[in-house]
Amino acid sequence: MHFLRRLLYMMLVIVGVSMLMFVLVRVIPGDPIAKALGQGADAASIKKMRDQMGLDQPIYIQYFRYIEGITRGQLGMSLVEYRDTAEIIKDKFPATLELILASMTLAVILAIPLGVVSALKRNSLTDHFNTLISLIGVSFPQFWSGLMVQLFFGYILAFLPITGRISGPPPMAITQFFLIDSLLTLNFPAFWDALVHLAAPAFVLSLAPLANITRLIRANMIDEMSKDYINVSKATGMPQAVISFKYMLRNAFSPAMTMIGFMIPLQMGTAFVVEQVFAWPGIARFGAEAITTNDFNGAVGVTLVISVAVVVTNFIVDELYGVLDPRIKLRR
Amino acid sequence: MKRQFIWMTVLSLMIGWALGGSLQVAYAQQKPIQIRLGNAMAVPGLDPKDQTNASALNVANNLYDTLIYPDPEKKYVPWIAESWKVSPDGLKYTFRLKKGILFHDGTEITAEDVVFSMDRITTMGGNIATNFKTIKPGSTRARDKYTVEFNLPDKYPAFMASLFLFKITNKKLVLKNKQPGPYGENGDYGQKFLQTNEAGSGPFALIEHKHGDYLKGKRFEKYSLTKRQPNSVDEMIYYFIPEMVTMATRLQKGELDLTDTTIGPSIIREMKKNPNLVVEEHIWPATWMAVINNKKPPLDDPYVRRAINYAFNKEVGYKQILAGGRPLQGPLPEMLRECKDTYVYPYDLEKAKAMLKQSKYSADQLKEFKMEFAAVATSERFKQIGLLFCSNMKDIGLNVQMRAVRWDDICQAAQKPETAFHFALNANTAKIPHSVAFLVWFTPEGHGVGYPMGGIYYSNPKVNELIRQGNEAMDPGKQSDYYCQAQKMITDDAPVAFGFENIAQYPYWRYVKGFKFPTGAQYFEHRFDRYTMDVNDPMFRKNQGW
Repeated sequence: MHFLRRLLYMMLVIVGVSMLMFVLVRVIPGDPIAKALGQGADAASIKKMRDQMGLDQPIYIQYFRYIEGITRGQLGMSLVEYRDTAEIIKDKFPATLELILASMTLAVILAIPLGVVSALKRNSLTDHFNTLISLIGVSFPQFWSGLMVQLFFGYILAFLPITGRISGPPPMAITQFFLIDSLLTLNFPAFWDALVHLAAPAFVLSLAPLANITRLIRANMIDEMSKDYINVSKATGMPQAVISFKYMLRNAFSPAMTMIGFMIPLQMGTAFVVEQVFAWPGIARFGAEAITTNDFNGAVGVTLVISVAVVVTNFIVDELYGVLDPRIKLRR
Repeated sequence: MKRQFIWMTVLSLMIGWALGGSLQVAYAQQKPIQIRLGNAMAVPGLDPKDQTNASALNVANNLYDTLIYPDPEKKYVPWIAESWKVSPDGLKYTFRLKKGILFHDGTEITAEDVVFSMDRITTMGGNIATNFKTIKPGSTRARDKYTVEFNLPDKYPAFMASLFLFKITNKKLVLKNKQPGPYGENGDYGQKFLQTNEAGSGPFALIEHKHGDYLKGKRFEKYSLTKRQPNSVDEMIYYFIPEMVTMATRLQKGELDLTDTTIGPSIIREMKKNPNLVVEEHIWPATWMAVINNKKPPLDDPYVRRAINYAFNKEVGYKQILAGGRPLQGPLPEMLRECKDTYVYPYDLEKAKAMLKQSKYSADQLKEFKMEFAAVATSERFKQIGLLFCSNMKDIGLNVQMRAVRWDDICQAAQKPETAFHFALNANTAKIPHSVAFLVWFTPEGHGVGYPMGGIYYSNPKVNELIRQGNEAMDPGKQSDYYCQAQKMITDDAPVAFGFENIAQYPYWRYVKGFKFPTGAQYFEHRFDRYTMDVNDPMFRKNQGW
């Protein structure tokens, strides 16, 4: 029952967002058809293309046709790539998702020990150093960080590739995630190739969430340190590492998980800078171009993808809360 | 015995090392010669009717071929067509095709393919079709297996030059892969198929295209229109890299052999210090101008427009904002200029003020007008030139504010004189290398087109008549004379603020041979069947892993 109710809310959010975006891209000024046809396009050519795309119909008819297209797995022709938006998303979305998941994984793996150590050694040199790292992460623009990483690791040291997702042949497509596909097919050269290509952009994209998650874990750990059960645990002779990582971190991590869940879909919006700098063939870059060129179908398609990602990750995060804190499950 | 054993071992090792080394050299020599080009813009799709940007045009020139080929001296030379004739009334163009020219699937190009290709473009519409809008679907005919006839309802002097954009497509292959669609027995006319596949006859055949990532092509071994030279390119790879600093880093690292012209002048300046790189600089056949809306006061007064031209400091524009260039002489780029002695408005504030005094508007009236200069928001160069322009206008008391807007907004606004911006910056390129492609914007035919130049709304009956006479003239000398007179009159009326032609910079590694500019038409400078590599250059071996 709980699951069905959540599913209904998710559907309502997705439909609402798609409707809003559908209308917005059509009412804001700008004629993408004229641009798509290029200089010299006369009124007759523009009208022909508008008719072919159904843009001469009333907006509610266009929307119903759009929904009808979705049932057939089509999201309308993109004026950026002249093919169906659903195909574009199918091609590019796995690249962006792989990048975001890699960056968030890296951020969490680094943030946990940094946050815990900062809390345990509060106001020490280690704490101040970690704070500095966090500040750098949120202050420096991704654009600049990306170019510096390319210059240093890609050009001067020359041990990371500068752009792209893979140099050699990609692994056989199963999930479209190169790391997973290469492991599933035991293609270790492709795995290594994909991993080294992913390293730099994932690192750059992880800097901002790393900073935020570190600060949050640190603050929550400090809160936990003042609680009675910690004093009791210490009094019973429990090792500090066990107290910190098994008990304190579990409680301190819950708010961080909310933030992580919120960040994943947000990263889809901000990833376009990293995708631009590293020429990563993802959906975020396509989405940014769709919006600036007023590509109706592209913009709505990408928005749909992001809204689905938001509702799904929120759902997963909510369910994970129940795992971390059984009291939440009981209350439901 | 022991000594013998040691000598045998050393000798064996030496022989083995020598053999291994020679095997490596032999293997290295068998590797294909690649050319790796960095491009800022991704190719939206492979359909030859939708060549919407520089990358798409570039790629199409390698995958497909045309009836004629551009030549900087002769304008065009036979290519797939071996000869042609034009009817005295200029309405019928008959081409005789060469025999034995093959598509990539091994089938021969015939007149039917040419007819199909033109019918496809004119029926479906699209970007390239706007250049052939006078041709009706079904009017192109195959007279026999190798003779094709184009029938134009009206004279179109730029028809031959337009053919550089007309790519011949394999009819059988396209129809074999057609999907259901709105074009009767032709289905979707192969639209879905051609988005991700090619049906051409060019020097390179497509291997793979990953949208927004890369495109790979390999040499078509049966290509016969150019002679294969030693060490010519076997494989071409386009890498789509939107960020110019990233592209420059890859070039300098040796991961690219050459790039397009998007790398900025400050980075090029550093590259020039690298002895392994060559940077060629050429005047790009584009006209940078500030489009003026001739309908909106006070810009409806030619004296005000002349004043604007005198006040615009073009030299700062092309020397300090762009990589270099020269001032524009009238509405045509140098390569198409019909007369070489066209007036250039010098930067002269006193003359500008004197012009304003002659206008129908008083100084107080001129101060009251609040005008807008539209520059594309995503281009730093456009915005900087816009700021320069606005600052220059302030010097003569004109109130112009810059607005950074989207390209679409400028195009849409241009469609009506009431909505067209007072000024809009545009760099008009010579995709079709013919004067009429530029002059059309200064006639009523160009009014209201969804493109910045459509917002000029200038009309001078004498200019219209001269251009019409030029279009009608079959003799090239007479045509040039009419266009020259029109060019001078337009310059005098100053319907736009004439800016400059800029320098395009082409960086490449020293082992790349065969770059040629001008080629006679744009985007043919990266036709890779004319390129060779110096395979003995150590940098080539290092960069390509030989």
